[in-house]
Amino acid sequence: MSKRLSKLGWIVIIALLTLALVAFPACTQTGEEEEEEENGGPAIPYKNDGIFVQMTIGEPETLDPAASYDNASGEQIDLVYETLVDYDRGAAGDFVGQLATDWVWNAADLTWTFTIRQGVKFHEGGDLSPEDVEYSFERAMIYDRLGGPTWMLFEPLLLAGEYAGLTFADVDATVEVDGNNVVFTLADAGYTLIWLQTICGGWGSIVDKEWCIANGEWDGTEADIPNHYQQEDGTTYLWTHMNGTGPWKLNQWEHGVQFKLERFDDYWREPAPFDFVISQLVEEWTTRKQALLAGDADFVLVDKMYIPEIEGVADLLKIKDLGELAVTSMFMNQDIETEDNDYIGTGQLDGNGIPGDFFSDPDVRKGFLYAFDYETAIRDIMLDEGITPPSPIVEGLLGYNPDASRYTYDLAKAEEHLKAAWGGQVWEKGFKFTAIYNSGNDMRKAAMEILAENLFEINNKFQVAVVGLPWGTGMVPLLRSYRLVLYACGWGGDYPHAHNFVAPFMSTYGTFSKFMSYGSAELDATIEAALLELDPEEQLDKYYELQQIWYDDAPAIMCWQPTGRRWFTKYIHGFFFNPMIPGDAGPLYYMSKSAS
Amino acid sequence: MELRSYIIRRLLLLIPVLLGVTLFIFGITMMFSPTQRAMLYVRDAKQLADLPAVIERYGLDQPFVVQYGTWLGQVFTGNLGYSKVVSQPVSDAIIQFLPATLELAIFATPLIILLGILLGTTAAAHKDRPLDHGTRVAAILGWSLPTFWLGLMLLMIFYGFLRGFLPPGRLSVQIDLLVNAAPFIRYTHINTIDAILNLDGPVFLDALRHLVLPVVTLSVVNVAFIMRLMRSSMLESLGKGYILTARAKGLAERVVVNKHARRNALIPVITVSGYVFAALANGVVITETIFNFKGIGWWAWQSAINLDISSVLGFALFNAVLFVLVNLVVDVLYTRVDPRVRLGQGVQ
Repeated sequence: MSKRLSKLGWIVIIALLTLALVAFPACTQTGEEEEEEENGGPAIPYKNDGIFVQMTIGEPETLDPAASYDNASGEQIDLVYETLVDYDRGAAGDFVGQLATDWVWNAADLTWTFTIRQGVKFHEGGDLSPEDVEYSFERAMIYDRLGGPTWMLFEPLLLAGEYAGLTFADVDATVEVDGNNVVFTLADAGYTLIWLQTICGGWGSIVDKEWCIANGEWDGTEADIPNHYQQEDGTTYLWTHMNGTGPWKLNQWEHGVQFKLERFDDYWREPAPFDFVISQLVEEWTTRKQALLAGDADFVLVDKMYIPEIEGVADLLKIKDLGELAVTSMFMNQDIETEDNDYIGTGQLDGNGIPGDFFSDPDVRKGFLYAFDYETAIRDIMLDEGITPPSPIVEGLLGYNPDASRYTYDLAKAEEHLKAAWGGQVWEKGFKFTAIYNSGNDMRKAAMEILAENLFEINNKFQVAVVGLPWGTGMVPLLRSYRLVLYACGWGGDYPHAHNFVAPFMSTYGTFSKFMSYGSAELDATIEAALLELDPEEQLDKYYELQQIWYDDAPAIMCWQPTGRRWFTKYIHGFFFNPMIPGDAGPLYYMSKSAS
Repeated sequence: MELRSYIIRRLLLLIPVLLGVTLFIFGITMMFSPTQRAMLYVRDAKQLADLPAVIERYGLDQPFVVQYGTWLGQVFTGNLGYSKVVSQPVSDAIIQFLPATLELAIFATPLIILLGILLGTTAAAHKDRPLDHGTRVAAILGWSLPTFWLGLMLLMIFYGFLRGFLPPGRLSVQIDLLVNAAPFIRYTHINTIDAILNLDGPVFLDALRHLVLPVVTLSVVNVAFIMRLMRSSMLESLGKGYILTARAKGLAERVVVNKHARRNALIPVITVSGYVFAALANGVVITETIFNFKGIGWWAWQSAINLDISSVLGFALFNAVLFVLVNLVVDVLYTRVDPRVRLGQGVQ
């Protein structure tokens, strides 16, 4: 037989044998004790002692705390940098000191005074000082990255949304060093709680002033501001370099692949529980799933649609019913731009289209709200991992009213309203338009289809086509030109206060309300009054009032507030939930990993 | 023509090629509105308010000529722009992602070519017999299999079912920490080569173990093409007069096929092999994604779907250079395989 093989044949055989030889030892390489579980498949082996490996889908955009406004960046910043105070475990209104040992509110002069912790070291060796704190906040404000998070600092300090229109003196006056203290002067007492919540975010991280200046960042003077104001993305030194005081320091950022942190040995608290924290970017679900089951990942992101695939695995730590501070809604544009709009049919209420002000009639909106099957959406789309919020003030926020009026699925009432809409013309002639979701988001698509089918069931002249468009290149240009008719979008909280949800949904300047032409000066005043109300009882009443206004106005369909899940291997311990901790893996400093 | 002047001429040809390619791609991206292109900088609905300022800041509403000119000016100063999708300069992104793709290509290309030649030769030598039919069916099957399906199946069997046997990624977690710390030196960032240069057996074996599934996936899908080409080329050679002469001289069939016919049949395979390598080195999106073997294909794909124009242009430049160089190497190889071929003049 061998005589019949050519040289080439032998080369191929040798190559294949080599591969087999490489692969074979790997089969026995795990060295882990494997035991078969009675149910739910084989046991997951314990691997990578002292290392936490998570597989997720978000690549950090930036490591600069003053620029970061995405979840993936925020997660890494949260592990490396520290803020003055932090949420006390899961609480939204209770705080513990991090880089501040004490904090005192003075209502007379509207100041928060923070006493800075002594003996704290930055990863590069510098000592924490009050000047670092002052510099960190001032730098964030004068940098004011486009599309960044700094608006959250401007609002409580200066009742502004951006640096434009302000002077350095304005900014400088809001944060001052006083001995070992740092004093923030707020613009209004209504921001007292919001300020503490705001500075718990990554944008409140403290950086090392000397180190920053030495590496070409803003030098702290007014003269240098033009060189750093709204710097182009990627050009700040902190964009790709980190130097915090947190339990882990940057080891390696392999862009698009993985992000590695290593334990900081001079940390001021107990040493971090993991030698390394590795966050790998793995887009493919099957790869993430197999890695979790093989023990190569301690935590993976599980999209809702894949829950059934691992629901039955016995060897996993599953944590359920985590109330996320987020909401998904379907918005109805009350003043649609009709010119060059392909999504409104004829643009007339003639059965083959809709006019631009179709949704300005409350009966149309209420008809739609009653036509949406909320329970089916939660059960079939969210797989029972969500609740229906009555308004943008979702459960978990200060101001949430569990007894608030809410719309339920009721086709009879939907019919009643739609018969009354536009003096009966809607019922008689029908309508046709296109509803838009961001392509790839099958949950939003399914929600829209539920609505469309129910409307058709009420009257077969009601025709809603559901179309997916790419978010960036498709939906946003239409949104900004007011051409979207009915569209689905979601909101996640920046800080756990009702104002952070009411403003984008109900104000004339809100991210969503603006593009559905909803809101009024009067409503803006009510929102502001609620925000600035100092008496907690009164404030609660005002937020309850806003929820009632939302119900009466019926501007959008509140589809769901997700309740999340987390999936770890059984070797991970200590998880607790706080929706404000960026990322999904949880409070890693308080967690641990052991084979027991 | 002298080899040196031929190479210089071909390299000079790169300039118009690069200008043409980048102009074409830039032109296509300009069909998107400034708002659409600005979305690269705005990830969330919360940032929409800053869109007009983003457009102004990055000059996205400038005329085509101004934007292209600005980009070209940057390129001449060695700045290929910034890759937003991976938050680093485009040149750094190419340097980071190329080694993974090259490693795949380096291992997959020889396997594809050797298997293709072997199977093609065997099929031709057994024309219309069961072996020929068998290889043909196997080739069609391999060619028809969707890469993502094959990749996922292999992953589920050899990683999932066999409990971490052949894992995805480029290195295991512990080994990865090892190679990124002293005393290991990363000469090329191609893990297998670096392991050899560092004389580190465990790293080499680990890297090889991670290569098995993506390389097998690429090979199964691509070997059919070479095999079919080799078969037809072999059949043509086997029909030539010198083969008849060789057989008439009483040479063994094995010698006739492997020495006389195959050498001449290799010429078209060399051309295609160059392109196979170039195509693999150009990035294989699905394989890189499924096996988490992030290379230049994954990066280019991410850039394209996010309208990251600087990255797309940078990739196009890289691609054009790669194909010109591969063409050059193939041309030079011709002269070695077939002495009748002269550079720039074809067969004499």
